[in-house]
Amino acid sequence: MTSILNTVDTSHEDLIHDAALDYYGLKLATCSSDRSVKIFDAQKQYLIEDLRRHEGPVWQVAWAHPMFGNYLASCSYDKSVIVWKEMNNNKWSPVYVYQGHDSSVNTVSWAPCEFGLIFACGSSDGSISIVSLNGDGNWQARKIDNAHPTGCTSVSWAPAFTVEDQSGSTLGVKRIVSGGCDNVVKIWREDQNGQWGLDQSLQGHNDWVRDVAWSHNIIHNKTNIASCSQSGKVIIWSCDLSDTGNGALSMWKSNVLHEFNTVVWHVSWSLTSNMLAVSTGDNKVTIWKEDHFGKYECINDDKLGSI
Amino acid sequence: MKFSVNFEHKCDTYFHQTIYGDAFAIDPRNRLVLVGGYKSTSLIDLNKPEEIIQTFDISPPLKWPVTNYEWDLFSSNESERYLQTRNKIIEIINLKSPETKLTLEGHAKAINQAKWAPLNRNIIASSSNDGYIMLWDIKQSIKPEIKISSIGEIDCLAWNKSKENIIAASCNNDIKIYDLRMVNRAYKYLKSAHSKKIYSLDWSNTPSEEILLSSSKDRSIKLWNLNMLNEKFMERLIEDIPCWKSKFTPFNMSFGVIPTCQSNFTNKTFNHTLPNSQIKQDRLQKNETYLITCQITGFNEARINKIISQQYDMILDFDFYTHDELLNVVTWSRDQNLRIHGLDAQQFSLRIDFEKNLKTKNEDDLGFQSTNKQHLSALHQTTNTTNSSRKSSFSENLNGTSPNFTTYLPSRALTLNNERDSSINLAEETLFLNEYPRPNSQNLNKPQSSTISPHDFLKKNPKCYGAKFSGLPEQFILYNNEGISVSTGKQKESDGTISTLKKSRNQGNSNSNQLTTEPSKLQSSNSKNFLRKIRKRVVISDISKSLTVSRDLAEKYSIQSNSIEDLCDQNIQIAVQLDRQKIIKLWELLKIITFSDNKTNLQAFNPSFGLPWSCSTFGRSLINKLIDYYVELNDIQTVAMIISKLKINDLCLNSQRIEMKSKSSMDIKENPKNSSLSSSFEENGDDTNSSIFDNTEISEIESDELSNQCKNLGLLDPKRLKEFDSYLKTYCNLLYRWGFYNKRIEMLEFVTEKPKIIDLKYECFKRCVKCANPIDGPKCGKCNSYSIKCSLCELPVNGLALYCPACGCGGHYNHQMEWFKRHDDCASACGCRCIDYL
Repeated sequence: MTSILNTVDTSHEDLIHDAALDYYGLKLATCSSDRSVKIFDAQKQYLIEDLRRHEGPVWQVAWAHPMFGNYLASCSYDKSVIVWKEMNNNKWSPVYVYQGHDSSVNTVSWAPCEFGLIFACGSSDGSISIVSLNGDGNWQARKIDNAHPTGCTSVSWAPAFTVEDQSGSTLGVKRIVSGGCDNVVKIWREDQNGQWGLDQSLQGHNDWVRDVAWSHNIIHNKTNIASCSQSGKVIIWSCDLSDTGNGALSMWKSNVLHEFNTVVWHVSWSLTSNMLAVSTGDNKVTIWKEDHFGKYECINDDKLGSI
Repeated sequence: MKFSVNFEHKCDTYFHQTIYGDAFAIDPRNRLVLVGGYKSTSLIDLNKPEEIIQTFDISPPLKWPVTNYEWDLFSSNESERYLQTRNKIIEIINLKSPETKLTLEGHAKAINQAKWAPLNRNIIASSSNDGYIMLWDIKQSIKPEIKISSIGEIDCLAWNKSKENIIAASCNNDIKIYDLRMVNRAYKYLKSAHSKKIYSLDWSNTPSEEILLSSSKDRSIKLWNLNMLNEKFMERLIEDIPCWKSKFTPFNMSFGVIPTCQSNFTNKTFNHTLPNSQIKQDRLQKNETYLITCQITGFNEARINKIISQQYDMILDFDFYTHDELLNVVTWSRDQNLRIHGLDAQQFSLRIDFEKNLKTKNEDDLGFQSTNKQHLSALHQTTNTTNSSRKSSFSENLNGTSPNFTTYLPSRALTLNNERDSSINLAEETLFLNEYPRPNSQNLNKPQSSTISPHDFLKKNPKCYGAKFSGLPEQFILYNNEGISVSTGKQKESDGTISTLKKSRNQGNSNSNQLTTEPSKLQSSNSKNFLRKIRKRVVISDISKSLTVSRDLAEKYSIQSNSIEDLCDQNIQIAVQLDRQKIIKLWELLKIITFSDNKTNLQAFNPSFGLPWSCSTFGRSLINKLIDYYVELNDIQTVAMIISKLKINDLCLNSQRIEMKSKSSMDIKENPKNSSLSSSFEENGDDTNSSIFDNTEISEIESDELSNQCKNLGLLDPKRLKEFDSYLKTYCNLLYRWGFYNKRIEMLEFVTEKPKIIDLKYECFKRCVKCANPIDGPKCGKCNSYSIKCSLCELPVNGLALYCPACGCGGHYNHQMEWFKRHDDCASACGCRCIDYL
């Protein structure tokens, strides 16, 4: 089913915790417990930059949409998020350091490009921050305190979609989904004043939620969220947009994809939103594909896990 | 079938004059009872309840009596041990060598409860009046590993029986549930769970649900289902007496309760006001005391099964064990009597079958008996009962009786911390038995990482393997730390790689606040070597074969052209080249549709030519079906191509129709059969199109209404335009990623609602070339010249344009592209080397 294009040996000194390709699939960013973020050329496999500014293990990296320039965000145990920008001749430098959290920042995620250059990050101190670049070049942070009182593990942005109202169709409100150590998946939305509030609280996990992922597209008026937990449960929450008017997402149906007998670390939607990759603690990856009847089937027999 | 309440039961009473004290504990495996606490502890075998096997004297200070006993259920027969709490200290006593106690000191005030962790060996939790819950790992240290501070005295404690990291504690009226991986805050907080002080807490044995039983001075028992929304209590039994102790039976969802201050309680009406309005009244005789057993039969429903009312003194404590198909309740009361009540265990365990499945009742009966016998014989045979056999025999027993009881095995619950998996290793168990920690032994302070989960669990258990769809649609990346064998949860860790890893982590991050002692230098060098061996790789794979979108097609497809037929022909050729049979057929079909569409629609406004093509079965409904089919396949590419093709088609038709506007209105006016035709059309059913023919006075139709009609005659369903837009945009994003910017721009032309882009760094605005006046529309308001003019053909540009960002010259996209194929400099001869900027 798959063919390996490239294997990049990162030569990090400690475990790597995340890797991400940029928008065009040309650059690869990795982060590790050795406190560094590395950027590679994904095709020629050479190291472009080794970024060492963090003072603790780096948990996650995320690329912004290239319409703003080449931005990379990394979050770390040192309670900070660093936004890196590519300057001239492949030199990367930190353009912004966000230090608004009291504990390890576990996750960082960029908003859809339609909303501008905005990232959300979640921390072990239980709060989520939404940080945006204003027109005047300053970064402005809004915080959701006690979003998950015992710690937030993951955030993911809703795709930008349009809503119809009296004045025609406008861009829908910003929404993020987050998972945390209180076993709850929560959806947050921004109101007219730019304040973030709870939209929905999805209960179904009985252990820590390790990752959440909102699908990238709206297909057949449906949008999906996948969440996975420490206990091995993977749930797909789906919402039919045609059921609810005015862009309100209120009716979420839960569907347990599978219960693994080990921790599930990641869930990831494909760009066309019909495949879900689930990575588990036993070093296996399963890919699930939605069939014609809306049921998900595992399409690889753990073959990918043995790469 | 109704459940009969059986009040008859066997009760044996054994009087022990020499035992003084309030504390009491049963070891359900070996049926040993510890009782006493004042000056000495007595050990009684329930097989011979009249005898005291052994007496352990309590070490000074004697003014501290024992308040709690707890058997260590992980210890085996050779080294059976228990803990006792006395004032501020916890003592661990081995039956074989009672003189060598292990004393745990740390609390500043009296300890209320101390409990062994049910799923982890050597872990003890204790609650005290000093406001701390302390967790001790007695294999590691005699100092507390974790201190959880709280405001106020902590009364009760209960370990979750299926989740190793969850512990419930009560603090006056409140219940706090802690996750030991994150102890700085209670993970759930049931504020004012009861209106008065809580006397006892217990977790149910059901692993799938988190049900907590609490009993309180406020005369109520509550059951909390913590998995439910808002943690509302599932059950509440109101009683007229404060509830002293409550415990779940080993079976599903039944529990026993003893009320407190029974001796003071005289001649009161005893009411059970159950929520399902079942009211029971029992007159209690003077000084009569009792124990209640309840069964939960459903949401907010409970049934009281037994009332033991044969004692004449205060029951101090009670517990359950199963024996000879009987659920035995052993009680210890103030009058120094040990009583064993035999209840019919089947009635407790078969409860669910009564409710749910009448048919299988008999089978279950048989099943229960056989498994129970097996279980009992197993118990008799195994003198060396290990932890796992205890649990499994228990669950085996339960499985035979209640089908919806899922077993819980310690290994399942231990998936969270791999390190602890290894501590459950059988080989280690035997090892452990020989080296039971003795006081003052040096090995207690061995530098070793903690077995209790640390505060920052996430840091110690980071993600180190994962796969993502990232970058291009066909790219799939996988990051891997090759060389760490991560346990699958059920497997046992033999080589201890994870612990090595964790040690290295300790050493690697000195800024972390860890509980463990620093590893020695030797170990750190080992761990460095170990880390070096791990191959930290990222694998990028190509999954294009399982994708429905194709990069090759995207690259070759032509999107805009003057003639739809040419377009279809071109795309057929492309599909032939790539050998995509289905897509060839699709394009052929589209060609036919659009071709006939052109022919028929030219006469669309003349009803005498029949129905518009879009109303036909092979018109719009076919297109909708086609699009739906490809959406279901998730082939966004094909969907976008179909939509864009038909949009061209519809646009062409619109322009043709507007030209025909006057003609058609004339035709209709002249046509006397118009009304009959309109009705015949309505019979055909498509109401969106009927409006076209409702109006007989076509000449009065305003132009915008006409364009509405034209929309209605298009092959694309106007109701679904918004949905189609989202598919087009999705495909545009894919084109963007692939780097086909021109194709993307061409495709974006078909999006009805153009995406609003905010916060752009570059702002584009038009300025008149002649008078430099900023302009909005196609023409300058001042000098009335066209704003966008092609530098090559000198005609105004309407549609795709290409402009040099440096000099601002440009024009028709096609013209400019042609020019720059041969030239590097600007077509308007302004001297700019445009090719450098384009």
